[in-house]
Amino acid sequence: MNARINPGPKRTEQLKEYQIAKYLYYILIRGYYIVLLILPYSVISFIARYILHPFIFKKETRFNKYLRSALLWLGGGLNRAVDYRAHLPIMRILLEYLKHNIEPIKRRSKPLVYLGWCVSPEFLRAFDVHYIIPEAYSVTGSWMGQDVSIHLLETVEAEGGSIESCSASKFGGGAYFTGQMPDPDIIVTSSHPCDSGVSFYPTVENLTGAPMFVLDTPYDTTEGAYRYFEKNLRSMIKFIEKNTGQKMDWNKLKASCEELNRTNFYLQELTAMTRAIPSPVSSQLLTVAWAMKLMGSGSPHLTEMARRMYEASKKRLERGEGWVKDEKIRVIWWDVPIAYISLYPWLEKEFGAMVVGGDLMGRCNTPYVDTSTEESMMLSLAKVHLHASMVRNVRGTYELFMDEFEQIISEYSGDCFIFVGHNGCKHGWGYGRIKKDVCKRMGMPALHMSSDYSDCRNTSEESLKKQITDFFVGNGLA
Amino acid sequence: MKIMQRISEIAANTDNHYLKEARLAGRKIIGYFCSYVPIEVIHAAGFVPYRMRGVGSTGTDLADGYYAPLNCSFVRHSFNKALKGDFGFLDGVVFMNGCDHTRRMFDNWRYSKTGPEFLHMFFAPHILGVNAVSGFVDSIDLMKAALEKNFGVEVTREDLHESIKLCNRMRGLLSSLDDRRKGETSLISGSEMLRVVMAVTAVPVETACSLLEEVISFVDGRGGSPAGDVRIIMFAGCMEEPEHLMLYEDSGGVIVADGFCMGSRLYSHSVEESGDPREAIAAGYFGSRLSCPRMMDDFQRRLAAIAGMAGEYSADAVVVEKLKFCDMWGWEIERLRRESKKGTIPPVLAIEREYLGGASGQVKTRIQAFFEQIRNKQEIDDEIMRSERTAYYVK
Repeated sequence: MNARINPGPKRTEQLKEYQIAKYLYYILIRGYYIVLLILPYSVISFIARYILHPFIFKKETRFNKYLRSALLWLGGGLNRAVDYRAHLPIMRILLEYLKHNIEPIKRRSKPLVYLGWCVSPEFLRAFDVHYIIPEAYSVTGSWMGQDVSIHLLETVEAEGGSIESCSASKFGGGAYFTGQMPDPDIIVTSSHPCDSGVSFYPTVENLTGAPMFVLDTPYDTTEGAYRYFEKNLRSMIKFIEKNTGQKMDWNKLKASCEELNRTNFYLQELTAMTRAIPSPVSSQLLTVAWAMKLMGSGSPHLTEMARRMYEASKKRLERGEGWVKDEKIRVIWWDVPIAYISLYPWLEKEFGAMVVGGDLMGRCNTPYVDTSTEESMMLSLAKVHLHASMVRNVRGTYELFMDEFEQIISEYSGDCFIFVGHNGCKHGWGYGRIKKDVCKRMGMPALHMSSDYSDCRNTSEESLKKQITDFFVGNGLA
Repeated sequence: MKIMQRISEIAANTDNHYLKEARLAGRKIIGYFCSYVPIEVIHAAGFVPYRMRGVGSTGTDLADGYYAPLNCSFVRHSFNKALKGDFGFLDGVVFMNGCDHTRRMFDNWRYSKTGPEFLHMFFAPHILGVNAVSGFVDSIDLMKAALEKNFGVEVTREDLHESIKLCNRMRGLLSSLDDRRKGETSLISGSEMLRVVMAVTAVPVETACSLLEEVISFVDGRGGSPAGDVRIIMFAGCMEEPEHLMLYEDSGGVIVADGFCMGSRLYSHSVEESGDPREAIAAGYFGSRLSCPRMMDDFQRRLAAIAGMAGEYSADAVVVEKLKFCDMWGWEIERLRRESKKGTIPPVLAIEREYLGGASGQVKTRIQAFFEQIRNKQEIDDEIMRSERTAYYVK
């Protein structure tokens, strides 16, 4: 039932089958050893950063497009050499995740699962399976340059995919149609956080012919809602067991959950540290951590990454130092377009502006997993899923978003608020008035921009920078 | 007044004299937004279930302050009417998590403090299966409890059984009317059928049944559509514009079956009249009925239903319409087009438009071009049959 097409000539070169995963995997392997060599010598990494800086910072050009975005995600915009230490485990997480992409291509020894991006992979760690997150291509797909991103998006649109859908889903579709992912044996996804995921996955099911399990998401946040989701999780385990012929290893699940608790401790501390004035943490770290959690939740490398980020930031906090030398503007910004990770270092360098409180994705506010019994672990995992970044804020009533938003405004000493309405986030556009009223009531200047989560065709990096500059200047912040 | 005129008048207006009579008789009117909201529970509480609609809306100026142009035009029109006070006759509104746009209406409605006081969100799962049915039962209990608490009524098991019977009767009559579209000549047009459904969902269920009986006896006594028209089955989410359907009919098409929210999705099921009524309702709403694309794990069954309908109603083509910025129907169209290319279902025409958006000229041109393709295909198929002397097979 494979319905892939030859996408035909595009503006970019034709992508070869599995090219993205293979390219990133081999680049990362080499990069990993280079980083391993230079990391102990912080002076070398600092010099390397300065040499690379002109090639990655300003904008994408034909000379830097193949790695600019990847380098930015891997710390290209960081200010201090000490923070690079966290990026070694990041590379390990990525390599581990990319292995799930590469190994089924070489030899299909284990079942392959397509995992919806709002389903945490802890459960799959308790099985002997490979997993690919189609939406992760919205992060990794752009690492080869914006023209590759555009190619993926245009391919899915040419195939008839819904153009108004979230670009994360469209990246997944584009990756499938251009042959970047091997066919799965099963699909596991959820009905949160929005319509895009709800409508996209039946297409994946239809294209691949693989059996699909959907975790149904309750609308409210009550004990009954958690119990309902827990029942769904139990059905999911049965589904995976039935379709892979494996039994779930509860000890492995427990180990993953304990690892997740350790990771979340550090990430929550990092999120809380951005309350300090000046903030010792860049929210870029939290955004990167979110992306890594997406791919490697439950991995010890993730904990190591978070620990290293935490320790460097804690030292700055104790010394009363900020992430930037002279913090001038504190920005509360939910929905940072991840296609433009470069906006963080740009804001910091140009304006001394720090994003505080974590962006919508990176803000870690996850419950502890009680691993004392199977029952407590399952119920906790239901809560973890329903309180995951983005999911906890947008799956239900507007209070789920606004209560946390108001709390951030009052606790993180923001000077202004930036909201980027992504094309796919219809629910976000649907409470625009409520959000504006909150800002007005709390005396916070607000900039509402139209962009997209990861589709750079919607609004250019230059345009976003211009709007932000005008906003800062217009409100006397810069 | 002749029955079809009465039907047209009810369908074209937000309020009607049947509702006024019900209010005078002391009955509460409860609006609801989606065909997954179990009207049996509202009726069992002694109230009139009223399907919310955007008909008669003249703009979205007030709602645009809450929503963005990227949001669904049906939702913006409906909410605009609420802000203008057009739904002032309602005693409550039940919302559903149908899509991101409609679920935000529940938020904006509450936030704007637009009456009525009773606003309830009914949660319907996005999946089928045991967990979903139990989740739906829980939602029924919550809605029942909310109605009881707010209006000081009691909904008994017997009340629910009586309401199920009555609603089954209404659905049965609608299905029976729908069957009159199956034959070579269709006795009721698609636009008329839409008017009927719009009318019967805006009056008390008891009245709906008597109106339907009148409609059935009326259509049985008149001629049908001319044979030779292009027979289409049509799918859409929100469809409340009979004039829009007439574009197809005026272009030589006959809508022989539909899958609208205000169409067969409303009456393609019945509810078991014995046993636990809550479980029976849940099983009915999640059982044999034609689902909407919001149901994530039901595409294969929807596809089989469309293929079955195409055969049963001898359809030449499938038309799928979506409102702009609707992800659900956007991806559904992608899937149906793919299946059409494989030959699982007849050729598909996909139309994207705005609710009450006009553009009838453009739409009509597309319809005419599509019908021409269908007719040409039929002629070519006839030629092949004659030249090859093989049996003619109509998909």
